[in-house]
Amino acid sequence: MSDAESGARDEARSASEAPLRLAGRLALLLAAIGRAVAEGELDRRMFVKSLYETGVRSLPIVVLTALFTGGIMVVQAAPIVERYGAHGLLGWGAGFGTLREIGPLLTALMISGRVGANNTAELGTMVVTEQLDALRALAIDPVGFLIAPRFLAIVTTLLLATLFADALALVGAAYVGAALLGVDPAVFYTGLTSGLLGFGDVAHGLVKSVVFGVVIALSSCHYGLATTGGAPGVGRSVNAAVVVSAAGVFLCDFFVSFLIA
Amino acid sequence: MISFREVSKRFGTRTVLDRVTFDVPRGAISFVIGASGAGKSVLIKHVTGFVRPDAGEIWLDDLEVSRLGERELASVRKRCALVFQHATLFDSQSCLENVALPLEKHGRGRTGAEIRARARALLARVHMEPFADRYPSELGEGMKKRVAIARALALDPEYVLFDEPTTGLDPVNARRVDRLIQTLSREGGVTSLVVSHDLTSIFGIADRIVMLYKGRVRLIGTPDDFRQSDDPVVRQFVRGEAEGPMDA
Repeated sequence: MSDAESGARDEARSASEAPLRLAGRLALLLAAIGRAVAEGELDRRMFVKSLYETGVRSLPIVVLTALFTGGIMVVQAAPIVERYGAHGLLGWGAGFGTLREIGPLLTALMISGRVGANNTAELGTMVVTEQLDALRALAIDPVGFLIAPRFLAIVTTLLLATLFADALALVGAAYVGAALLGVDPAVFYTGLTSGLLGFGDVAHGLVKSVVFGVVIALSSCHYGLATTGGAPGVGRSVNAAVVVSAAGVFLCDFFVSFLIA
Repeated sequence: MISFREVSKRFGTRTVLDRVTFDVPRGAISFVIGASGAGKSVLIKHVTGFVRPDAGEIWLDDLEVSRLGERELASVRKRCALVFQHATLFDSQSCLENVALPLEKHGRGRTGAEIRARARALLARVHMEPFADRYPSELGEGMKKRVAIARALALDPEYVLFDEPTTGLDPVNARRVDRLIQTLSREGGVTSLVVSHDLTSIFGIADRIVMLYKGRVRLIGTPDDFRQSDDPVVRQFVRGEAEGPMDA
């Protein structure tokens, strides 16, 4: 812990931090989290609490975003579908885009804004008010008690929220398709299940969601731990965490898409 | 016994501690005094490994703390509690949960009920039991500090390091904290090392006083030694005079 934590405090300051150095810091933090979990130091009660905070409380925003995302995809596709009479392909088109790309990406950005920023602010405040030092003074490892539970909760939340958002986005797309284009939901469903889409498409999106979860959790924890300079420092850390998380999500999206494809 | 041997520490170009050497005898109440910025807080943070010396050694009985890694320091921190200058309570937990946390994490209690009972007893010791279910944001600074002391005592430490325990407290609560430190020492055999510039506390309960000035030990002695000292720096500090040889 101390290597990752003190290193982070010393070196990490802003989103302009040298990318290689930042990657090194994030790797050290990931190793510290892995060690805490492997050695059974994960605080299970804090994990459940974090899961509630990050997962359950994110549901309303995920539901709202997912339903409208599905609808937006149909609205955008409507002119082409109408022009070529490709109503039977609407389910496939919406499913392909949602499962592989839009579902995991938009869910990640929503979770980054809601959970990641909150995580950085909370950890940053704890650092500047010496609450993390107080934990260490009580011989309690902050990684096992605070960081690992939050990390696992964010990754788990993103995986489950993506699955949930995928389903809701397709429901939204089906109903907007019916309202806007007159495509029967049964036809939409057939398009989804006709064989053009498979488990691979769902898995593609879920792999991305796990990678995005790791990026968001690591960067939000890292910048929280790196906070210095009181309230303005907390603001700077939140800003850096949000920027790095979003950039990291898009970067990883490209490479994961490339690798899996 | 806590021993500081030739401890030096610099931050950038500024020397905070310069070959500081003294012992903290077992069971006694020792005060480290000096002007703000004299390095008092930095000094006591060396004992629990929060600050590492650039040179010198810190010993806790027969253990050289300054050589220990972060993991080995956990056993030192169970024996040697640190009460921070600010209360550092966990905002998301009630007073009871704050005090129960170290008991839970270190298995001091078989059941949740037993742990909560012990936590309540610790809060009662600092007259905070009626506020057990309150959150830190609902408490005044003095109350928070008393809860922080209760939490620090949860693991029955042999040593307690207090960083300005009475700063920000009203006189009544300040004397209550003094009495608590005294009780811990006289009845519990706890060794206390207190950083303070509260003259009432210093001359009220100290067995031994170490004065730091410009990073070096200026005088070690009993309260009487300090009262009778001819050293102009010591006299100015003890009398709380605005004019004198001490730097602003």
